[in-house]
Amino acid sequence: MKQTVEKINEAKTCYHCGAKTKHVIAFESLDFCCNGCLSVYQILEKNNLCQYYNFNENPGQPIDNPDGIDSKFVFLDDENVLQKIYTFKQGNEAHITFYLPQVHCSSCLYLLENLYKIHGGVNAAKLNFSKKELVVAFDTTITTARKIANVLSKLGYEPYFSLNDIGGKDSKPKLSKMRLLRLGVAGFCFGNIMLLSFPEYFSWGIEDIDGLKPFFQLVILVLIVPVMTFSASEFYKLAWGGLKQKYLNIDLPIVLAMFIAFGRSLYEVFTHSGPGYFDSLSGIVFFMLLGRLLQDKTYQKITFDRDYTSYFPISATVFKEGKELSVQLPDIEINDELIIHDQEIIPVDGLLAAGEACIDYSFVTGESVPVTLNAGSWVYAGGRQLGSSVRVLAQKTVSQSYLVSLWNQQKKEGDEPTQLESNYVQKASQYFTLGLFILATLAAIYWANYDPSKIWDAVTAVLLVACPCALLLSVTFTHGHFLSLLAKNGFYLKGPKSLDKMNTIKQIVFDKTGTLTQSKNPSIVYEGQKLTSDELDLVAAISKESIHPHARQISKFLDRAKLGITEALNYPGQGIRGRIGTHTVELGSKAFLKIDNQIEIIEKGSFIGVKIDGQFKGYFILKSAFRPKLMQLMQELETQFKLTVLSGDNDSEKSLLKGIFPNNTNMIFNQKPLDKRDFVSALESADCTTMMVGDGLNDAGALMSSSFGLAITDDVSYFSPGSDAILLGDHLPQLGAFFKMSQKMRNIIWWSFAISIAYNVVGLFFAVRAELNPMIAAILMPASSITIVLFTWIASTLSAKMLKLKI
Amino acid sequence: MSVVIILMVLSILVAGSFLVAYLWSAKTGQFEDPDANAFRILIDDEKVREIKK
Repeated sequence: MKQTVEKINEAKTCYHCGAKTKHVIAFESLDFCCNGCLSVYQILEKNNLCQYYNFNENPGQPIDNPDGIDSKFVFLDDENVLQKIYTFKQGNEAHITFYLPQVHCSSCLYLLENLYKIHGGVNAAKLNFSKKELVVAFDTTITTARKIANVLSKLGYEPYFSLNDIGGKDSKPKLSKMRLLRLGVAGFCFGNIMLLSFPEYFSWGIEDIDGLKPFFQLVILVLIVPVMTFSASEFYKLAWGGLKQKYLNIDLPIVLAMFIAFGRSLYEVFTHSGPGYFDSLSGIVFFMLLGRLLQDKTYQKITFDRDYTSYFPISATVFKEGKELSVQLPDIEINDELIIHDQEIIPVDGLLAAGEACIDYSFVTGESVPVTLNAGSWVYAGGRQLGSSVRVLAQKTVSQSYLVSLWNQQKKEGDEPTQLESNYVQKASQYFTLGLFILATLAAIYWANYDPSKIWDAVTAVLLVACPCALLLSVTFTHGHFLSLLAKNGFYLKGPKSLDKMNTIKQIVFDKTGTLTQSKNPSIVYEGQKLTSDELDLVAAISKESIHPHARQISKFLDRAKLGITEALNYPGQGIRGRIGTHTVELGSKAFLKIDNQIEIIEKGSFIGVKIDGQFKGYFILKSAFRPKLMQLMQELETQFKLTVLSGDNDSEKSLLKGIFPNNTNMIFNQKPLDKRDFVSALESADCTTMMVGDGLNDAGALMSSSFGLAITDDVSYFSPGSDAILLGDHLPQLGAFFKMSQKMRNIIWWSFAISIAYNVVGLFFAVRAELNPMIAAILMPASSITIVLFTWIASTLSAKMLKLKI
Repeated sequence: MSVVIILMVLSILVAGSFLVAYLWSAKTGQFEDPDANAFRILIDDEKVREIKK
């Protein structure tokens, strides 16, 4: 190894992860922010994989634990767990799928697929980029799943396992292969039928001299069969499903129109009275399938029906009869003694038996600043232990734990049949169908009086030309395009219906912690005697040695050069005491510093006191900071909605909130999860359509009882409670723009309805006069489809641009 | 006359071969992860190891 030198300079960029820091570790003229990043570089260099750095600039992940957390993947030694995780196993060869949420660029792909060069025993690895899943094939005699998981963690790609993995259900929706096949077949047939129909349309009355016509028609007849039987089959299924539930969906009139078009075309061909409408028919099928595929695509990356199982780990370490065993979560029994290591999630409610716990409840409450608890305290499932290991005596099983049971209870109540279309689309299609039948009857009555021979002509023409496919097309295309536009801006909607629901909202209820506040970077304030530069160096040096997350955040906050530590002793859960040169530095709780009576702390947050050479200097307060730009957002929302803040905390931050929210905002504090749910239910039953904006499991009840639940998360690939939409925390300030988008979408759909009706009127004009011929149909059909697609695409892109959203 | 029929059969065969290629690629899952394939093509081949099933 070549020499590593510490440099003190202005901020530099880490060659590996791109983090900006003033104190870099230089190695071979490259800068690294920490030993973790450097060690990854060295692994890559050793294995000749430095191309990794050529595809993207600073592609790496920041490494929190350069040594890896070996104990974390103990469960991968358990044969029972492995059997459920292995996707393939024969002899010595096993395949395992790792979910790696960190995957983000082509460098990741390069590195992960070259895993076999880094770790012996790995035969091959293949990454599914959109799913962020790495399939690894390895030889069980040379390496184990646990070792591979550790190697991945060391490279910065820590695999994520959840209870869901052993539940055996595949939660990620797949892009339907069958739909792709149907689309391909429909496209092929549509193109060829169109081509073969041209001679007929452009013959201008010239007689068929060469006898080509019957041959062309035969080929068309052959080509239409797969369209009708294979490509269109999903419309039959949907229409039939609607019929069975006695509910008129938009697929029914479409299927009806298709059958009429097909029947009449067959009749025309066999009676030699015309070429039929086969090209329009196959075109309809092709365009509709295309629209639905577009809608599907938006949902590939995100799942909404996630539950707590995708957040909880697979197994926990249980201390039984003097041995540490890995036990799968459902098998944990009451009074089992669990050992919770650093960064592990507490799987069941229980009592803290030994050790001082520092628990991050951000998943449960949204509060990012961890809570310190003493032995004997009650801990809730879902919290993440930070720092040293603790022992927890299980008091409940997984499914009975407080928050999980809250979740399950809600889930049963919240079950409702899923509908694909928004309400107004249903209504529009119902009126449309009704109007169509009336028109057809009128045309029939008219021709019965004047020329009965034309009844059949007119009625079928009316029904086939006014196919509501243009309606469906405008809806699916507009929805699909809007959903993907919004997804690009960090706003993921569960479905088009949700977007429509946004238009009915009258009141918005905000949760405070985790929703209005940020969970990533807490704000740090120092109070007390001013520290000199030398003293700051001392504090930074000592805090860097601590394993406590608060101390680490302080060291990051101070960002100082590293001094040599003579001696440092961690007191888990209390503080750290260390010597640097001639100075003694202590950081920790009030009790640890023995300053209980000396100071009074007004501000809420986590306390870390500083003592240098036995003298108390002051203290740091860590608290979650509010997200930026909230004030503008609230001013924007105030004009349209009633606003409410529901907070689980006390009212110590009321004055801060008053600065953000308008004067008439209702603020309620000390709300428990059930209180929040009841508050929202009360609003809903008072006919005040409510949007609940929350995060974490404690808001799950309120999110579900509201008309529109909006879950805020900082990482989409991680858990968020069931909701109508998921919004990335950074994009919260754009919420006002999203509301405007939902209104715009409604307008665009109405306009495209108008366009399709206009085309229909033209078609019907010919139809009721019994003058519709296949050529007019063949021009009108694609023209209306293309106009609508272009219109909705241009209109929605323009409105996104006007609202300054990313396109 | 007959030449038109021959040409038409040929054109459908050509289009059909594209359809078959598409169906094959859709069936073997080549549309499932378009991003990864787009990246893979940029990476120089050394010795590519495939997962055998």
